Amino acid sequence: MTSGAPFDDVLAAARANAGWAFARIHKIFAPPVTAYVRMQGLRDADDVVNEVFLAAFRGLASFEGDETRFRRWLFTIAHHRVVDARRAHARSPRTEELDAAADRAAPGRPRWSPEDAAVAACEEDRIRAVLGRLSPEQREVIVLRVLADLPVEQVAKIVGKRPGAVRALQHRALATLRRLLAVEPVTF
Amino acid sequence: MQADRLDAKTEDRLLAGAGAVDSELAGLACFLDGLRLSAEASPAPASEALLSIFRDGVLAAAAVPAAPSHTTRTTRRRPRRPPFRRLAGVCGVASALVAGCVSAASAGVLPPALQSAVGAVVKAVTPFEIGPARTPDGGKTAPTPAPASTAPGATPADRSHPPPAEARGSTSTAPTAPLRPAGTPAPSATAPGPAVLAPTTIPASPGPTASPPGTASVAPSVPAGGADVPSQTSVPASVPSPPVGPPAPPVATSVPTTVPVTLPVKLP
Repeated sequence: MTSGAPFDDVLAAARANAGWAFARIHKIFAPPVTAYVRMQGLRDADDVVNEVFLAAFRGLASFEGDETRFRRWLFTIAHHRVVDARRAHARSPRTEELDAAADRAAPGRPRWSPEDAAVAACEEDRIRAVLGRLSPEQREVIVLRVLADLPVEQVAKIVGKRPGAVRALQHRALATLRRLLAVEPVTF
Repeated sequence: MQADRLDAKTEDRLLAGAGAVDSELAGLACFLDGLRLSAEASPAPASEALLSIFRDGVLAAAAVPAAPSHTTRTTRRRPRRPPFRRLAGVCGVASALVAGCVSAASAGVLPPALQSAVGAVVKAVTPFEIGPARTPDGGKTAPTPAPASTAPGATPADRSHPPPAEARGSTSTAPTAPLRPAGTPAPSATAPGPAVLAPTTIPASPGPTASPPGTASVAPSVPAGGADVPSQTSVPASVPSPPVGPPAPPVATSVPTTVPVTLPVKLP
């Protein structure tokens, strides 16, 4: 954990409705949650991320556990929001803004120059393009394993599958990625 | 061969980004590292609702509505009906109620108090009147017998003749018609006119002399001369009788009992 105070204290302060604790939790978990949502190829991914944290903060009073459990709980909320957003997108026509990547990379990182933001956005788009070749379930497992840093058992609880099924999805996803990257090498 | 190297431990090492992998898996490892580094990119900017939570906490920020999003399910609101349609609906219901009350009052099935109230309203706003309510036995309230009436000059012998067919038909109890034009005199056996016989008879029994509206009942009477008359004439009030005169044919008949007569009056 990157916060100054132990996470249990931060959680206790957040349950006591301390604003600084919510800000600390958002600072810790916003980057991986944002990356997780963006890798799903959703439009308005930032709105989904904000909804995830709003739901988490409003339901924090009913949460009990440590940081690991909180991480799993938070990504479970994110997973449900992504599923809802995916269903909503399936019912509406898909549009893509031309400068969405540049706009997305600009705020919140003043230490990044516009060139860095553009390069990061391009890399992110390339990663997302490769992940887009996977099935949604395979992509979900890979992203949760890498970005949320969760073991197979907890990923299985999030996606509602057995650990064996998650391992099978993970194995097929890595094999597909390996084959794709051998044909179309991606450099980072 | 490649698939054999991707065992569970190798996959876990790749996904965790720990440890060296074979050169054949370098591309996959590089890709997964790039995916991991994407989590360090700029996070999503906090919305106004989140900033409010950061300042004041969840409880104070609960009043701040969240920004609408495409993922927020909103119930489809039913469009409001135009005002004129709502007014038309209210007017239609009111009209139906008024029509129902007037119809029930004209049929005489309302309670007496309500019947009189509706009758007063109808009389005030229309040229019509509504009769009294029915009694529980099906008749009208206060059916008082009217004084008997006979045509002037009618003799007992004349009274013994049966009345004309139209007069006989009208003596039977007809459907009630409590609604009649206002201002018109209530048909009565004592009313002067060609349709009734002259009030030359004397009621045989004491009682009210006025007959209820729309009815004409004839009680046993005694001629002016004081002679005994075996029977009484019963003539409908509004049925036109033949012209009264010396050679007038007998229009009255002897009816042993008093029969209430109600006359239907059609609305204009």
